[in-house]
Amino acid sequence: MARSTNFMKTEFPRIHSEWNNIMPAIRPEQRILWVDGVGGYLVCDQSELTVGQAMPGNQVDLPIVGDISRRAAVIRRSEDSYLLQPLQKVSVNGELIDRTVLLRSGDRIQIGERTELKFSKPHPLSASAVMTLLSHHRWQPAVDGVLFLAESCVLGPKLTSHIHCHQWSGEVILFKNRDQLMCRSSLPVEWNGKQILEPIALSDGHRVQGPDFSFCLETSAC
Amino acid sequence: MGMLSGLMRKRPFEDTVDSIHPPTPQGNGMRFAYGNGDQPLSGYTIKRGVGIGGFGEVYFATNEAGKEVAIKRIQRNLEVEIRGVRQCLNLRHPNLIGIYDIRFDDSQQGWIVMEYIAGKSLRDRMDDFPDGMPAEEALDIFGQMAAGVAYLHDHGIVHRDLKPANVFIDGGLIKIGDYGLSKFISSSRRGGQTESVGTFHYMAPEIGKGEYGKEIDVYAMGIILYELLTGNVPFDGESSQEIILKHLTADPDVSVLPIPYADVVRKALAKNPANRFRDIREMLEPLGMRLEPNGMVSRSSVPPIPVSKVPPRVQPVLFQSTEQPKVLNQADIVFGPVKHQAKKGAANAFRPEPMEATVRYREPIARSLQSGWLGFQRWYSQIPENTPWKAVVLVGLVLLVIFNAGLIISAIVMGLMLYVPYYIIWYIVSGSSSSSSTTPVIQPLASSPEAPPIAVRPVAAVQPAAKPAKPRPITFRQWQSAQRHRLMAKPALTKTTELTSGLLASTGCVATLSVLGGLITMANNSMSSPGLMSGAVWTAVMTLIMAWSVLFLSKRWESQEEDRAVFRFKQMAFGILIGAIAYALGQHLVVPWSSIHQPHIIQSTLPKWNGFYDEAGEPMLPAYVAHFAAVMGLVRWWRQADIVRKNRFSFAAVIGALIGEAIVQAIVPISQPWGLILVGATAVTTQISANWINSAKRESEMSSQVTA
Repeated sequence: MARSTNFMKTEFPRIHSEWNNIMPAIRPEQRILWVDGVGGYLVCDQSELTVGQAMPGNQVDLPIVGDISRRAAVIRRSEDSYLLQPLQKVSVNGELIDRTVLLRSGDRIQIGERTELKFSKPHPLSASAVMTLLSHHRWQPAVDGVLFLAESCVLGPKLTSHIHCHQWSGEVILFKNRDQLMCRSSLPVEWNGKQILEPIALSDGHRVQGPDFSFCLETSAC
Repeated sequence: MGMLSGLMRKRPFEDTVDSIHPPTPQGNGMRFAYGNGDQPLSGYTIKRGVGIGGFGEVYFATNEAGKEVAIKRIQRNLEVEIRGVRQCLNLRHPNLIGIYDIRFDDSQQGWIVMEYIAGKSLRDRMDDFPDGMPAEEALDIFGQMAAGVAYLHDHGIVHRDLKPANVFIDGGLIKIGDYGLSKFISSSRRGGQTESVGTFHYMAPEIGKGEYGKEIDVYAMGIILYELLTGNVPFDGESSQEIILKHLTADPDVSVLPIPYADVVRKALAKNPANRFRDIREMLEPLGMRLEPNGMVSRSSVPPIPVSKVPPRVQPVLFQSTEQPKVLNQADIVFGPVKHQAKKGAANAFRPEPMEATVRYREPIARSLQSGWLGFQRWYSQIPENTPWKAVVLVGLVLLVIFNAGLIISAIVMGLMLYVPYYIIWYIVSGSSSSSSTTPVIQPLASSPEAPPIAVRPVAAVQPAAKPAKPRPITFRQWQSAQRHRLMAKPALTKTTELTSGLLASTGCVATLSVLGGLITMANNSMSSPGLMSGAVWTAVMTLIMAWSVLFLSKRWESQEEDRAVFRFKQMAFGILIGAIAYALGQHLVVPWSSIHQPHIIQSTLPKWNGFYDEAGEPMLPAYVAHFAAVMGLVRWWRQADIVRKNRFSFAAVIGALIGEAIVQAIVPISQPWGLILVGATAVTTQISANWINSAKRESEMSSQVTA
């Protein structure tokens, strides 16, 4: 199991973790994609995310209401690979890790004694990934998963979709355009009550509706 | 890929057969009235839509403090629904989704605020196992569900809509939802406005009759147990009609289940509610589980034992009952506590279950005798103690026996002389083979001309199921049975209208036949005979009276399962009346019977029936009465006017009637050929004028009922 990669052996500077706390204003706002009938997903496009315990005053990117450290692990994305750096007792697929490891699709990450997560990168052509909780814990705010958005991701009925919407008749692609999150679809899409053919820039509180789906991006400052 | 096939299979399950609501443009997708950020209900901010169930849209929302809740907008917003939820507002059980509040928005739209479960529904979970779950997990889920249902029952609530889509998995905890609301189904599935919510896969057969006891939850739990273990529901079909039909008539295929489960499922799915488990607790026992005093289910260490005394494949007695279904009045329909119909009904013989439970003989005649005796016993014990009726009945019986002792004894001896050889033959032919249940010829569903009225309104997205559905074709009998079941819902006014039009049609038919008959006689140039004219008039009028009697009776019986003995008897009673009328009419028209054609047979039989004929050989009143009573009792007239008869017109039926007449003629003759003409004409007239559901009309009738 050559899980630990050589080039990543460098210990992550502890000081960096404190950085977020000192300068919260720089942190990007929190975005949640609410897909009706499917679930809510925290959309993250930062290259580095900290997992930690959800508690007042603890500013972590991915807060989990669970018996874990305030800062439990860091997930970093470089190109299309994801790296997991443990900051407390963390094991991947039952194997305790003591250094940064490369995450593969389908990996089960256990943090502390009870909290378990699943990492998946379902689409072969997209670097985006999804992380969901397997154990009976919850994200704060209450979402069903975390979407690591690289360039684009897919919402649709196929199993290779990042967000699996099994009752949809077609796919919707979300993609980044500078700071904007855009969406396009082969299905007719309604936005603000108008039929729109070109890609739509998702904005807070405006619902995108298709023939058999609807979703909405909620943006809020942390 | 297993998941994918599960999803494909899922569609027919999830299709809500919702006939009133405008068909939503999408197949399965959801359109929610509200989206993220909306605050239809003050204090709650909607995050997203969760699902659209039969009772309204469900949203995930948070209140100002951050409490996460599910809020459900009650679709129809009826008083009855609100009342139903209110009754459940303070029920608390770990296996039930908690209800927090009932609120009304500015437009007086009702909302239910309840516990939010982030987990999957049991439906989703089951779809992960297309071939059934491991028994351990299935038992765990079933046990927890049973605990929740038992808690509801203990509080006088029948869920009425138990199905996997209403059950949620919160971590390892099973939570049942939608209780309290489901009462509403009751007032909708009957009467004119056919409206059904939800899937039919879990609906007990008696729901169609408006019975909503705890037994329907036991039935649904039986279906769910079967589905947990096999991945399939026991009764599946392409259309709602087909599924309902199977609930009514088909036996579940439990051969795929191991022993304790097979018996539990079979007993829980008994067609007659009285044969099911009395309650959920009883259902848990053979599965090796027990309901603890704290309301939770525990697995007892005792290994599962087979259910004892599972009734064999009994005919669905419920639907053979000659009683009209008990129509609940509005007060009963209203959301309500458990109706203890089964228990109350034990004495009033609404259900024949005691009889079924005790009739032991397999030989048909002995069986009917014994059940007749039991029926008499029940009736007798039902007579109030303090009235003189019991004494009257007893004294009457004793007198009857004393005065007719000679006759009775000779009858018994005769009967035994006939019965003993018959029984021996019967035993050799069929009695020795233990399962003599006759399987009717099974016709392929699609090609059969008498196929049931399936796909009346094709369910929104009927897809070819991922798994080829096991062909469980339906026989004509089964179709008839289901059709009769549907006919129960026919309003009395419609029945009356149909009867009137049938009577009118028969009048026209008789007139036509009379003219034709007249033409033939004229062609033969035999008008000279003096009695001919009055004889013809007599025949025409009598044909009309007989046809009307038959039409009237079969209209009354159209929604009942065939009960030959009773039907024959009632027809015979009519026959006595008809005979009396026939005699009076003959006298009035001064038909000179003896001068017309009298077969020689009369001379040979006359000595036997001295009181029936006068010296001239003319039949008198008793002869008429006996003759018509015999003809009416012998021929199965109701079949000729049956609304669900196979063909509109059948020559075989006419010939059968004529043979019956010939037999009667051999014993108690009246003047011929009038008798034969009369019976033949009656057979023709009833078949032509009685209304009939033909294949073209099936469709239109059903759709009109759906849109009504």
